[in-house]
This record gives sequence, C-alpha cells and structure tokens, in this order.
Amino acid sequence: MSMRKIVEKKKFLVAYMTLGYPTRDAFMEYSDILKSSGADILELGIPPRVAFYDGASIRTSYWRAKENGINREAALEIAGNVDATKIILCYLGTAGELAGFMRSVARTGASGVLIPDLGMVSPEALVSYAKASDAARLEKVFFANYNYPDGTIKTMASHNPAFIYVGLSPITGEVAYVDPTKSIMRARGLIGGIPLAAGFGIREPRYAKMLAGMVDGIVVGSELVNIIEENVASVARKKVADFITSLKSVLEDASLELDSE
Amino acid sequence: MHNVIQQLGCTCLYTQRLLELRIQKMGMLRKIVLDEDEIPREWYNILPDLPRPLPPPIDPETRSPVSPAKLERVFAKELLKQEMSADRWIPIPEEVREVYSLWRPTPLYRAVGLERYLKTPAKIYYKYEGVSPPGSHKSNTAVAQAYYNMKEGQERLTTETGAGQWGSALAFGCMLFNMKCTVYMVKVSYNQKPYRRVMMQVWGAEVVPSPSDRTNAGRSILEKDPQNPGSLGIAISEAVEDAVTHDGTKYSLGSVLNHVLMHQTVQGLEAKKQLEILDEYPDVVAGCVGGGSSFSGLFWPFYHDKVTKKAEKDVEFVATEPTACPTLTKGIYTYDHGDVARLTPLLAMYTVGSDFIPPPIHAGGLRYHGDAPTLCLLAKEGHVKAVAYDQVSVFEAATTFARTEGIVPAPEPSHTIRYVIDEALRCRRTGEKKTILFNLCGHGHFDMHAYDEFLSGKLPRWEYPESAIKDSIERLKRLYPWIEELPYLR
Ligand SMILES: Cc1ncc(COP(=O)(O)O)c(C=O)c1O
Repeated sequence: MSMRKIVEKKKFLVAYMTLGYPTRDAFMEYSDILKSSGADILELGIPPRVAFYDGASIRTSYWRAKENGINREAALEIAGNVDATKIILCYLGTAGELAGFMRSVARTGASGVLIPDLGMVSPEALVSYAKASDAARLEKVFFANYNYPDGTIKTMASHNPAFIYVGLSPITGEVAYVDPTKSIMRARGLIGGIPLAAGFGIREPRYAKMLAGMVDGIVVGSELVNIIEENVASVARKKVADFITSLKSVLEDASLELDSE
Repeated sequence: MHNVIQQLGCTCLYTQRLLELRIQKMGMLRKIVLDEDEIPREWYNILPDLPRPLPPPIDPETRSPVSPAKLERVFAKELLKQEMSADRWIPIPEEVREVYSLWRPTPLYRAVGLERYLKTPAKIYYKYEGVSPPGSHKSNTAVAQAYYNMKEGQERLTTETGAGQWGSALAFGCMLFNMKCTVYMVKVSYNQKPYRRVMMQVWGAEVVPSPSDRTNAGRSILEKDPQNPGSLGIAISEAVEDAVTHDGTKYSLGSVLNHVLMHQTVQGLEAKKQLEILDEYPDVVAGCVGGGSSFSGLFWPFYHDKVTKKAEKDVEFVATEPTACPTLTKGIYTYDHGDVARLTPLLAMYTVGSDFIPPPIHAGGLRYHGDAPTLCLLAKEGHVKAVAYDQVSVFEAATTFARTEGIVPAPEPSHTIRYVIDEALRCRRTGEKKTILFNLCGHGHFDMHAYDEFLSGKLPRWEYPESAIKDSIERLKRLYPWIEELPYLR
C-alpha cells in the first residue's frame, strides 16, 4: 500500500529510530517491535554531521550509531533489511547529491525521504528534492517547524506530499513552548487537505491524546531513546512495546471518535 | 486657522483652500496627531510573513537551536513565547497601552522646513519617537518588557547600556511597574556622559560602571586590567551573570531579538494610519540600524502590506548605518555570537565580527557588530537595501535638520536624515515626487558633546577596514568549523 493510502485511511503513528542504534542487531529487534506494536510507518535516521533539529536524546542515538560504525552507506544497507513501511530521515549535508541519494533510498524499499533542514535552505532546494523524489518514484514528505513562514509551508503543500510533519518545538525531545494547538491549527489552515503529522516532545500518551483530535498522525522518537538508555535490554524492549501500543490506541480512539461524528 | 496657514507661508489661494479643507479635517497639517484610543491594540510579528524560515539561535555546545527552557533563566517566559511565536498579531496588554498613552500616539511630521530648504518635489514625513520621556523609541519595548517581568513576579531587571539610551528607557519602564533596575553602563560613558546616568538614577535605577567588581565577568577583567574602559560586550556579560545568579531577577535586551522588534511596530502601525489620513503611501521607508529595532518597528507593517499585496506602491525599505560599523553593507552573513565574550547563542546575521572594536572617536552610535536576524534575512533576500555614511556627513545632515525643522536629532537617526536629504536632492534633479517616510527615533539633547566635536571640526571620517571583518570571521570559523554545515542561506 502506498504511504499516502496508509496516512489517509486512519490516524497514523510514525516511530523514529536511528539506523544501527543501539547496536546493529538490537536495531533490527526494535524495528520489529515497533512494527508489531502498532507503528504504521518507521522513520529511520542516518547519523548526520550536524544534527540541527535534534535534542539530547536523538543526538545520543546518533553518537552511538556512529560508534557502531554506521555511515550513510551502512545505514542504507541496514534500512534495506527492515520489512515495514518506512521513510529515511537524512539531513541535506549528509544526503549529498539528491538524485543519486534518492535512487539508493529507493533500492532499500523505503517509501520516501524526509530531509529536516530542506525548508531552511532555499525554495530551490524544495524543487530539487521534489524532482529527485519523483524521479526515484518515491513519495514526498516534508518537515516544517511550527514557526516556518506561511509561504514556506504553503509551497511544501503545493508539492502534494504524502504528509507534512510539523515539529512543535525548536528541537526534538523538547515539549512545545508555544501553544501546540495554535501551531497545529495554523499549519492545518495553510496545508488544506494534505495529511498532517505532529511531533517533537511527545513523551506521554496523555499529551498524544490532547493532540490526536487535531492531527492525522503523530511522530515519536526521543522517548524511545530515553527508554532504551534508561533500562536494561529486556525491560527496555517491553517498555518500548507498551509505549507504542498505548500511543496506537490513543490514535485508534481518536479515529473512532472521528468516524462516529 | 489662517494664522497657521500664514505661518506655513502659503500665499497661493488655491493651495490655501486645499490646506483649509485638510486642516478642517484634522486640525494641523505639519504634524498628524492621533487620538489616544488609536494606540495600536496589537503588535505585528513578521515571522509568518518572512520570505523563508528564520534561522533559529544556535547553542554552540549542541550545534542545535537553543532550548527555550535554557533561556528561561535569562528572560521572562511570556517574552520567550513572543520570541518564538508564529502568531501574526500579539495583543498589547491594556496596562502597557495605558503607559504608552503617556507619549503615544507619537506625531507624524511633514518635514515642511527641510523640503523647502532643499527645494525638493519629494514629500518627506517623519515619525517622531523623541517625545517619549526617555527620549527615544526604546521605551516602546522597555515598558512591555518591564510589564511582563512584573506579571511573572520578578522584582528586578538587569541590562547593559553604552551611552545610556537603552538604560534610561529600561529605568523608566521599571519605575512605572515598581521594579528595581540595575544598569551596567560602559565605564567610559559612565565617566564622560554623566547626564543619562543621572536620568536613570532619578528614575530609581542603580547604575554600575562596567567592568565592575559585582560579577565574575567584571572581576576577571579588572584583575588583569584595572583601568579597562569597558565595552558593551563586557556589560552584557555582567548584566546576564547578575540576572542568572540572583532570584527574582531577569535580564532585558533592547534590540536584535524578535520580541523587541515586534514591540516597536507600534511606530509603523500608527504611521500607516497617519499617512492614510493624508491619503498618502510611502515610496520609501527608511531608518537607522544599530541592532535593527527602530527601523523594523517602522517598516514591518508596510512589509506586511507588501506581502499581503495591500501596498499601494512598490515600497522600498532602506536601512542606514555608519561606515565605522558597516554591518549590512560590508558584513558577512553567517552565524556569529551576539557578544564579545561569546556568552550568547549564535545568531544568523550580517556581522563585522563579534570581536569588533569600535573606532576611538565615533559619535554616531549604531556600533553593534551584528543586526537582528529578521532584518538580516530580509536584507539577504533583497527586501531591504542598506547604505552607510561617515560621521561627518551624518552630523552635517543632523545640523541641517536642526536648522530647518527645529528638532535636534540624535546621531543615530541622523544617518537616515543624511540618506533622506541625498534622496530629496536627487528628486530635485529628476523631478520625482517621491513620498519618503523615516523615523526620527530619538532627540539629541544628551548628545551635545558629539555636536560640539562636530562643530569644532574634531570628528574624523572613519571607515571600518574590510580586512578586519574578514579576519574576524575567519577566527570564528576556525573556532566553529561546523558553522559551514548549518542550514542557512549562503
Ligand atoms: C535613538 C537611537 N536610535 C537607534 C538606535 C539603534 O538601535 P536600533 O537599531 O535597535 O533601533 C539607538 C541605540 O541605542 C538609539 O539610541
């Protein structure tokens, strides 16, 4: 099923993991756990040189992955072994020349590429991304921080991506400082019918529940790293599964409420 | 009424009739005054209207955007929210509007005297912010910042000041909301320019010559160099340290940051209304730039018109600055620190280098090494044009203005007056009937020493060497080679 179909069918859950974190083997286990606990899309990150939008937790995961010898090529090789609907997260500087990068991503079976710093760089970068993505038969996904200008967010929507991911705070893992309801409503107004996912700082099902009614999807990442870092392996696996399950049920409840309206 | 017309020196009957009609409509032509209830109810935030995302402040330790939680030690929460807000309109609290009514709405003047003297077909308007008690636009944000800090239970604000414009504005703001205020004043200014210090003290502020023995930052400098004359960079370090090491105390900044510039938009919002009354729309909006707050406060609302396609004309925005600190005209667009001690986050801006040393004799102000990131982004994208002038030609313009309009301008806006005069003279040659709007953001009553130096021919012309800018940025890039990899426009 195309990613667009998945995100349009029901409220969706995106789970982020850094490729090769915490170890190559454990990563594979975790990607299975995420999928079987209810994550609809796996967002798999390539460790960058400068992790612009990432807070302490995700940066820890990058650092560990790098320690495990994960570079861009190794990361894509691991991604190829993940059997799930997946997108690859990669910063522009690490992706390098886009057309070639997109082709190698396509070979891993991923549905698309999310470049978090794409909107920051230039309007032309959005166009090159869209071209390269189309040429590699990938689906487009964009990241916009909550305070991006109207024009940038509208331009992203005009490329008709599978979804737009709105970061609710300046960096991952940090709870929104500016009222997230306002941020989501604003983005919604700007992107019209394009599916909208929100993330950054979603650490509790309660918070996810508050957001679920307003968004099409939710993205989690830092909290998974926190669980993995703070617990022994067996406990961490269970807690990750429980966390994903609880978020999934929050989204399912919200979908049901929507249907019954 | 006829008296007024005679004073304006109008003899032609037709013009006289027109003037009469206009004067009947709003009382006076030479200056347009709004009612108190026309003080804006909202500030305008440019963030959602920028041509591209604003590169956020970077924490050099993490190389990522600064965490708001970290900044809460320094700034009031509500101000941080405004700093990061994507709301286009931010309500102005009634308590702040009430204080604003002490001097707002400020008058919009038609520079009748200057126009006549220049024999220009151009129409020149200026928004006069010197009517605020501290004498400049800085009170527009000082009052707001003091208010929010008071609401959040803070008892004291700290800040730095050079010659004292900002320090006196904050002293005034704090006094109105019963807060204490500590101003770290650059030591040379403290000793050589006592009157603004006294003004701050009259309003109850504590003024500390910086470097001082009150902070680690100050003490470490004094140990090495007891005679150190101080600098804005050192004073910032002291004021921030004081705030983060004392309960009930926060720090306050007078320019550069989004929330500060936003508070200044009352200027442009009023000016738009005032020009509407005259059925005018500017071809050019000009202002001087130190950190960018006064100019942004005037032009942002017109920029909003442009983005929303409501502007009647293809209005041009012109920033003026000194050749002695040519941030926008010769600076390099990169991430750089906001202070000499490299304590502040990295900001994406045009910079002449954070270790910039102001020339020894510079009377014109506007000596900040960088500018507001929003302004720099707009300049980088070609929405704002910049011009630089040397201090001698600036004071010549200031004197011409004082002798034709009466008001003795502060040196800072006199950079803009230089531009306006040159542009009006150009219009005389080409016959263009341009409408020019600028802000006279402060009076020069405390700058008589600078005028004295000018009148006695002691001011040198000075240009900051481009090589010094390049050297400074190279030092920065050796320190942070990863800056090249941050996502911002090259
Ligand atoms: C009267 C006046 N105008 C302008 C400035 C420059 O600052 P900004 O560009 O933030 O308005 C100053 C700075 O102290 C000032 O005192």
